[in-house]
Amino acid sequence: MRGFWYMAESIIAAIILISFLAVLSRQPIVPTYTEDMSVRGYRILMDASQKEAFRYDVYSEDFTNIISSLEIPGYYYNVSICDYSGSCNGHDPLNTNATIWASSYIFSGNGSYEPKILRLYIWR
Amino acid sequence: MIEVRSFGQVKGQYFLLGAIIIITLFFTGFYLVKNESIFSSSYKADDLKYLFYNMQSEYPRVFNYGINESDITVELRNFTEFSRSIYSSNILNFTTLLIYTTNISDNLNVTIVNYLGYDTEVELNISGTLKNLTVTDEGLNSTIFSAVNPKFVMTVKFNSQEKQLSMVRDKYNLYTYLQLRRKSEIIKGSVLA
Repeated sequence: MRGFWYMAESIIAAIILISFLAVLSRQPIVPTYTEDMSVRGYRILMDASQKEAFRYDVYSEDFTNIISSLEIPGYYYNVSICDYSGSCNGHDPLNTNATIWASSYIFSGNGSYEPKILRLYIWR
Repeated sequence: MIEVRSFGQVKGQYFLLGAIIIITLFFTGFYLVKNESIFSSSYKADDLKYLFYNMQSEYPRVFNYGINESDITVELRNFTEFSRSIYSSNILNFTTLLIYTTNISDNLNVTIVNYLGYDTEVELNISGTLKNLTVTDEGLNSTIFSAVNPKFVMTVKFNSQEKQLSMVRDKYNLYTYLQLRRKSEIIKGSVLA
């Protein structure tokens, strides 16, 4: 009977040890932290929205100018513009397999009241 | 009689128990770090900050559009409701109290629009003249102060907030109290334009 318990203890110990090593081998011990690009996107949009020329580009839906105004080196990005009714123009992210960060800015108008929401998608 | 055991005589069950405790602690710590539960809160607060700046920047513009189109209340209401619908789809609760003044010669018309999410009492004080207004949730109330000085200070009290606002009678003035909440994270402030 004593031999049976020794064997049971050994098996449990082996299971614990193997599962411990298995998890360790799959995961990095020190997790890698990447910058939260969503927050960076909000900051970029906030800065850009202070420029009247950028607001004009948003309201004229000049996507070329908008994209070139938002410099995000090392990442892909696209924008879409939606109006009050939810109707949107612009581009969705091209690579759907990647992690996509989304940020937005609500514009109230450009000379007169006409709310629009600019959505910025960033991915790598 | 106390039994003294040497390390070599300790039973295997105790080693197993110790191992289970250590591994449990390790995996708990690992899980917390992996899910960034410790670090992510600052990121979340950061995006809330920018969403708040967004509202702070746009309300004065909305007010100007309202003045130009002679429909201040409608424009403020429309923008507030639009923003609230956008934010609520991101699990954000946006609330605001909007107070604006217009003048008719030396009289001052004060209008309050309430989007705090509940009925509220607002106390207005201009040069000792005190007025209390009840504003229902999503409702509006207004009052007139007579013979107001060209430059005046209006004290606004509501809930536990108190603000002294320096204003000019013969121009349009806007004060907005803004609050953005996501679960336990709250950011609040005001705009005077």
